[in-house]
Amino acid sequence: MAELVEVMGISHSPNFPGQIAEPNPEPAIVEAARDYELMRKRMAGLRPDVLIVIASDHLNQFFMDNMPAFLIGKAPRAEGPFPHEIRTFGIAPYQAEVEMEVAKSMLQLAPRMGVDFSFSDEFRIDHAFTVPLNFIRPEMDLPIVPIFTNVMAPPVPPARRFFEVGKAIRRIIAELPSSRRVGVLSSGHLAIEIGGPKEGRSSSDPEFDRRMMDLVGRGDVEKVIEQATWEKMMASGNVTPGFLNFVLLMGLADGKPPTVSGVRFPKSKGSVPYMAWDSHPGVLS
Amino acid sequence: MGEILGIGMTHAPHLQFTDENMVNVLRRLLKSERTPAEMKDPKNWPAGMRAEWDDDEGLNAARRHRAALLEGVRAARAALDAFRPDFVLIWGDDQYENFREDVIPPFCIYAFDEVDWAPFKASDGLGADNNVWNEPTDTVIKIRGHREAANFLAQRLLGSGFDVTWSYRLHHAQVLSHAFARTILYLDYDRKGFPYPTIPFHVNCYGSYLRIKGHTIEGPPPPSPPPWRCYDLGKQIARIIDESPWRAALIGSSSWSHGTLTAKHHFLYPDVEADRQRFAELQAGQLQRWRDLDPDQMRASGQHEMLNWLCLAGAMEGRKTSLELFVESYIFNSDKALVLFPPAL
Repeated sequence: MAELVEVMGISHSPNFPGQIAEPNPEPAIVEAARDYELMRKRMAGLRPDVLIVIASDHLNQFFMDNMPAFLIGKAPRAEGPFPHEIRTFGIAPYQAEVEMEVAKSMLQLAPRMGVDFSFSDEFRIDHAFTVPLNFIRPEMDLPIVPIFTNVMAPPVPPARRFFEVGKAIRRIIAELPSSRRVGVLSSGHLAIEIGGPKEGRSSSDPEFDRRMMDLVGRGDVEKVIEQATWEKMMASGNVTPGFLNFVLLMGLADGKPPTVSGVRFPKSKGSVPYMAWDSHPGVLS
Repeated sequence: MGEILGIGMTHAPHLQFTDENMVNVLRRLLKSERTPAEMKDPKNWPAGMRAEWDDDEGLNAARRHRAALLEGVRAARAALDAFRPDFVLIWGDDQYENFREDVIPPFCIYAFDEVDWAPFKASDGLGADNNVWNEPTDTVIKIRGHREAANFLAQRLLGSGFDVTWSYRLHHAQVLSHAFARTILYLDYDRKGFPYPTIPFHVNCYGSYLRIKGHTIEGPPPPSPPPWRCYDLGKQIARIIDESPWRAALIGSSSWSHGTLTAKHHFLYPDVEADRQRFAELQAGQLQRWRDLDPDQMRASGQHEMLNWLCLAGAMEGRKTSLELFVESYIFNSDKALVLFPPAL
């Protein structure tokens, strides 16, 4: 039986690493970078043996000819991002071993939990995986199990299903035939618009961001699900459904409020949230 | 308020073959080094198998097999024509045709506008280059889909806890996979044309038993969705259609036990006893019992592809049949069933 030691969610904005690296980053970026350094220490302090990483492919490899709702990658290695992402954003590459036995066990256990995972033996991980991994485990020394979710191409599963799948993954981890310490890292974002009239602001809908982070912080699952409909998220920004990965995390945390959570609002390129549920209190104290 | 016609049928290759070729799958197995020498001798076969093989290598049995199957297939086509569905949804399996290493889904609904279909293309290794219609095997024609209904189903399934993938065009395959292609072909056995928009619905029946060509992947693939999950998915699809404006024919397409999947019979002949039990349950109106079938027992009996029928069973829960045919065979690789569930009154 494996032990779930940490559940953590951060942004996967491919702009954020570049904003940190600017000569004189604005205060909100400095604060957000400090938040993420604390998140890194938090995860390290819990000494996971494996990271389950939950994020979404941005139409880099999964398309409308076979669009999986939830997919587990079980190839021996995971590498990314895609070359065009490196060219466009200047983000760092990442590579890790895939914990094959955990991935396979999850696929064995999932049908019993009522989750219909697709699987892949040929995949890359895009910036939604590599950006958070470079923040949280820059050493690249932990094996990972990548789980891809569809938040890009409708029809996507609704928020309640993301929550249920998170709960199911929690049960799956509890039944894994190993004594590994499992950390979960998920990436998503709050309100954001790409290529639309609201692009470029601090957030395409700061009110949405504050409201949702307040609800997440209080562990108000029902309100979060009520607010995270496709229509409401799209009204806040045309790629806001990336928030659904945070809803999945709430399920993984069994609906409890996070130990810590917050959000920073830089002047441009999206807000920067964080949230973490510790299995053991006082990790950083 | 939608209406549903249910059809259970086969997509076995045998109806494609001429009578003389119908036993070719067995002929090939009898030449195989993997078949134990003693099992190549009819004296060691079950009595029923010897009787079918007889002294003509199954030629008369082939004629009887075809006649029995055609009775069911023609009845199914007549029921379709009387019902005039808005679309036909077919549950079928994929054998490393459209789904390969990059993404193998447990379920996938195809939301095509149209798709290429090679009706007379023979599957690799089945030992028959011609077909009973004597048509060119490279014929490719278009068949219509029903994107609106498929999208609606995908959305509603995803919204009710079934994590199906969806597809607007074929992924790896160039033409519609064998399970769907042959189902349509047999429903048009008399070559009248097939005018009904079609929604193929993939079920990963093979799971850990899927043959990955080239053996590039270490270890067996993950398992299939379990019988209860397929049953519940079918039941949910029937609910969704009931609340829709459409008239739908739902088809579970596969043979039952396959000899080529039955290890305990040296992969020579199917588990006829297990199939008789399934058919008795169907006749007794006990399809709900299929939901609790043990997946390991199903696989031991070579009933992998019956997951397609499990979807139909869930969709037809509580419905009565108007036709029940069980066409058993030892030498034609599989038992086949043809069943009709008329629209509810």
